[in-house]
Amino acid sequence: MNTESQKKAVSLFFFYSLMDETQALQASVKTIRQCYKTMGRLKNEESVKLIDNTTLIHATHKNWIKYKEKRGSFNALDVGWKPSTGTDLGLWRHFIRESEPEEYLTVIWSVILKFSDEEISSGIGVAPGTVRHRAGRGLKKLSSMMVTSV
Amino acid sequence: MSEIIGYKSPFNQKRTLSKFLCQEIMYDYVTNKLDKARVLAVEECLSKDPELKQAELALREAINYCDQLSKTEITQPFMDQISADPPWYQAIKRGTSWRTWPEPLKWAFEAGAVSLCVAVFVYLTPWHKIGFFNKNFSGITLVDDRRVPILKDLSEVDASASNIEEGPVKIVIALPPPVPHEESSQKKATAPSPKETSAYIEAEAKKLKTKTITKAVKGNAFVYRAFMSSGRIDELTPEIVATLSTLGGKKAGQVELGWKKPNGSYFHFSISEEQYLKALVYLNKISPVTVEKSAHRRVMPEGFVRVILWVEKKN
Repeated sequence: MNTESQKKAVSLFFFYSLMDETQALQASVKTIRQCYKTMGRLKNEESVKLIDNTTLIHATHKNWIKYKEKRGSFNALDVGWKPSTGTDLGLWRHFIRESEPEEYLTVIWSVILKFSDEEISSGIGVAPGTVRHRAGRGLKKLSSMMVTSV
Repeated sequence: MSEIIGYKSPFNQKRTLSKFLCQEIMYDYVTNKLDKARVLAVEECLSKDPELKQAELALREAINYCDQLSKTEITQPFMDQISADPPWYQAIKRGTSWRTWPEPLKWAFEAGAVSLCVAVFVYLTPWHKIGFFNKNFSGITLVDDRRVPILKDLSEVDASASNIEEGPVKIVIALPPPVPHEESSQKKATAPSPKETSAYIEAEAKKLKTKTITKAVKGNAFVYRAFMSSGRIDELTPEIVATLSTLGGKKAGQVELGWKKPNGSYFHFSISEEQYLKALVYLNKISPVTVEKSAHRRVMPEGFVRVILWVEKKN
């Protein structure tokens, strides 16, 4: 994962976990800066020194906890983030509202951002089996909502 | 062991899964994380149970939906915003923001603010006006002589003692020795002539010893409580009133001088210090007088004292 894709991953994580563009932008900026600071100041985008995914996941988790309290009502203006055509964000908002944070966060990391179970378990401090269990539970809930909405 | 005819290894036996277990490992099956034996077992369950098949399809749909979400594009301006360093004033603002302060520093600042508020409140509150440090509050009266009132005119003296001024104070106490006197029924305390009385009293007053109280009480804030008894109270009361009036005594309370009660007569008056001695001499002639000086919040003008005399009716 290069730095550009890591930045995109961080942005997507906060967009889908907070569903508030303003908060997501602030959280993304803060997380990226913290990660760079952790691994050493990287102003040169071409640097081969990459941020470890585990560090990234840990930073996103830590900042999500801080920013989730500031989150207002769902505010997705589709200005900075452009989902692909035909994607129903309402289903995702419904999923966020109805499921546990640990479930939808794991779904974001594992299924949307495609981090490995080991990286996620190291980043948030749980066993890999727990990660899979949470992801499975979250997807099961999401699938039941899809059936209901259809 | 595998060479033994008829032996079947438990690891090669076909697995059968319950519906519940199949549901639990459905996610692993869909993400290809299962071993071959389990995959076969799950597929067998799926072929037999349409409900499980439906759940598997729904799960795949959910994963496809998440794949769609992962294809969300982020506009370049946003990416530039994420990558750019903040301006210097934003960095300062963030650094001085209350939320970025460490917890111990926040607690220390809050404790300091509360302490400052309490100190300001204590400093600005007029405790002396509230009477918090009033001497009588705990049996002791503290009077600041800068605020000690002094009446220029005795007519201003009333029970409330509301009009006050400032002035220095001198405390003089005179305790005339009790004059041994045997009361005779024949002897009547007739009102002597003013000239005889004043000459006699002046002579007697000169003999009296004065005692200065060195107690550090600021202000003329005390009252003399005199006590005597007599069997001819009805006769003596008007005489005492006349004599005190002659000496310049004026009522200091709400009742008239010589206010009669069932068991005695009450005299509350103010008089100059010089005449006070003469009054004491006069009263001592009638009957032994016991005088006590006690602190009182009501302050008298300079040169004047206040006396509460109780003449008890003796049977």
